[in-house]
Amino acid sequence: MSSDLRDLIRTDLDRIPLPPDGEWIQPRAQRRVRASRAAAIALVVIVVVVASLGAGQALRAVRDWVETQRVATGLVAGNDYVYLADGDPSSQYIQIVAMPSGQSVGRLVGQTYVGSVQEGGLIGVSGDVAYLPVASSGGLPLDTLNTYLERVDLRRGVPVGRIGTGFLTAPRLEPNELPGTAAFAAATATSADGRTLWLVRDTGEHGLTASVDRFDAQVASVTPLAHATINSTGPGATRSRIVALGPDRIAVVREHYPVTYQGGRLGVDWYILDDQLLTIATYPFEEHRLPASGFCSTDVRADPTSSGWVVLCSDPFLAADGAVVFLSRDGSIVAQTPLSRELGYALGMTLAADATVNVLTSRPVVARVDARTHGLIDARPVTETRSLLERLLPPATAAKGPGGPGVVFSLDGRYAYLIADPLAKIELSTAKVVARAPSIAAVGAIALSEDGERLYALVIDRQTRTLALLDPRTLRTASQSAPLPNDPYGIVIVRTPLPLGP
Amino acid sequence: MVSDHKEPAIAWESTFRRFYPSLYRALVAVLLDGELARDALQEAFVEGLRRPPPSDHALAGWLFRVALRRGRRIRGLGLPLRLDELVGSLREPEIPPETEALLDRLALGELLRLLTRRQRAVVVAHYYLGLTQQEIADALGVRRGTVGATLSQALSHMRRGGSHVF
Repeated sequence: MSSDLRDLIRTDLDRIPLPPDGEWIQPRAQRRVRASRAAAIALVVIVVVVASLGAGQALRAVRDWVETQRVATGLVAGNDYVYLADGDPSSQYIQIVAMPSGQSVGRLVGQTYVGSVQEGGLIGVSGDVAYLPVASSGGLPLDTLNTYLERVDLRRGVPVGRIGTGFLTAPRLEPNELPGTAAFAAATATSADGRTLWLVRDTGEHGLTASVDRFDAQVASVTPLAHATINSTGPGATRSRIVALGPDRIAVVREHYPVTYQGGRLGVDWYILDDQLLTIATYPFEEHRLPASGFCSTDVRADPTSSGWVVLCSDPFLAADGAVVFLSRDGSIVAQTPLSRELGYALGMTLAADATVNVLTSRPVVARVDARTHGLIDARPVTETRSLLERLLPPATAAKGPGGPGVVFSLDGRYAYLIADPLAKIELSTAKVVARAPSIAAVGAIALSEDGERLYALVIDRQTRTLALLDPRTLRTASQSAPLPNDPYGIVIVRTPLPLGP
Repeated sequence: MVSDHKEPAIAWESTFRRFYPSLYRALVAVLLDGELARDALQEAFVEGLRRPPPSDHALAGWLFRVALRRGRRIRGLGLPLRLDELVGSLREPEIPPETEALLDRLALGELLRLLTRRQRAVVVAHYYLGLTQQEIADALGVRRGTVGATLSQALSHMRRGGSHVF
């Protein structure tokens, strides 16, 4: 068969006509057409694939480039007064640093009470005027203190008046009752329009009795328009803060400590008061009427879907689950969305334009809650796209800031700036780290300027404290102050100073 | 390279022309594409000009090997012949209409369509070009035993599908 097959194949294939012999060694144009067609198809495929896969990254790169160019044109520059808390907690001061020059331009002297590390945070200051509680002993008998509220023009950085609150006898405190307990344990809040001033003072043994006053801030009268007293039965010592919910609503937040301070808080009571300082809702921590033993942030936000408020509660010791609590205007709980403690300690929240509450936790995780339905949308761990080299560094994890919140949010609610190692910028919609600030050492506190165009970080480098001005878009350091005196530990507020007059 | 007193390029052209008819027809039978066979042979000619074959021995086998590889590269994937077998069913190209018409006129046309490309290459190289199994193995980059097995499989296929021929 083989010879037959060989003959058949030879005979048959020899019938295949040959091309003209003049073309046998000529370059083949048709092949080039075919090759170019294949190249064109390959090019189209590459373009489609690259366009589909890389469109997002390309847009992000373009956006970052544009933002970088904006930074390069000096848009990050601007003048701000950064108010820093410093001093011993028992005798607190506020230091004013002008940025970007980094010069310390003033220090508000007195035994103020702006909050301390031990007490979990700083008092909330809003508006253009702050009222700082001060106790002065100058020229008075021993243990007698003259107390007043020092009115501070935040845009000029100077005290402009006082509201006297009387004399008091310095309380006898156990040496270990609470580290740095202020002699004049008081806190203030002002309404958004600056017309109303509220003052809460902790009086009596271990501060168990809270005295609440409302003043007309415009006339600076020493006579309160309304007065109320809140008595607590303990346990432990109590320190109060006040939160302005609106022109006619406040929350008095009372934190309970062990009388012999052991480094932690027992729980927090919340009282909602109306414009006449009548208590309209009470949430004592021992009755667990607020989640997480009442450990709720004083950064209360207006509920965009109602006339009420949104409160973020989370136990810093993670002994219980947290929640996003929706309060009605009368102070009652409308709904609460649980946040499992496995998500970590809730550092802060912000509200997006679509009524989504974005919560950032210490793990960190971005949890989203729909303010309309009060339902948990999702909880996504923050991820980070990093190069192989960067993967040698630890992933973003929240570090507890000793002064003030561990996180601040951009004004549009899209980004969170998290005190981590190093400082990280997180895009909340994608739960991804989009920028880091590896060039600065440990950060103790952060704050944004009023317009959100400048980010300030209190940098703690061993024994040296400095203030860094960062571009919030890229977290690049634009300038850094000289070492600051008095070891500031927190940022109280940032205000843009008024331009100098002629 | 070629034992000729003329310039090497002219000598190579002469040699190439001598082998062209049989190689062209063999490549048409293997590649089932006349245009592709012309392209592949032209590439083999250029390759011979650029890097002449090491010896005059087995020039047909050398040209067949180079042309087959160029043919695969021109066509696309450029996979080794072994992988061609694995993915043959997926990537067996369509036969151009003019080649289809040619195959219809050949008694072997139907049989060639039954075989894989490697089987066609082995059958054509062995029975038409007269290469030994070792030369075919060198040309295809496979073992000699593989050539024998492939040839056996091809004949079996042709027997089953070509009763009208045998």
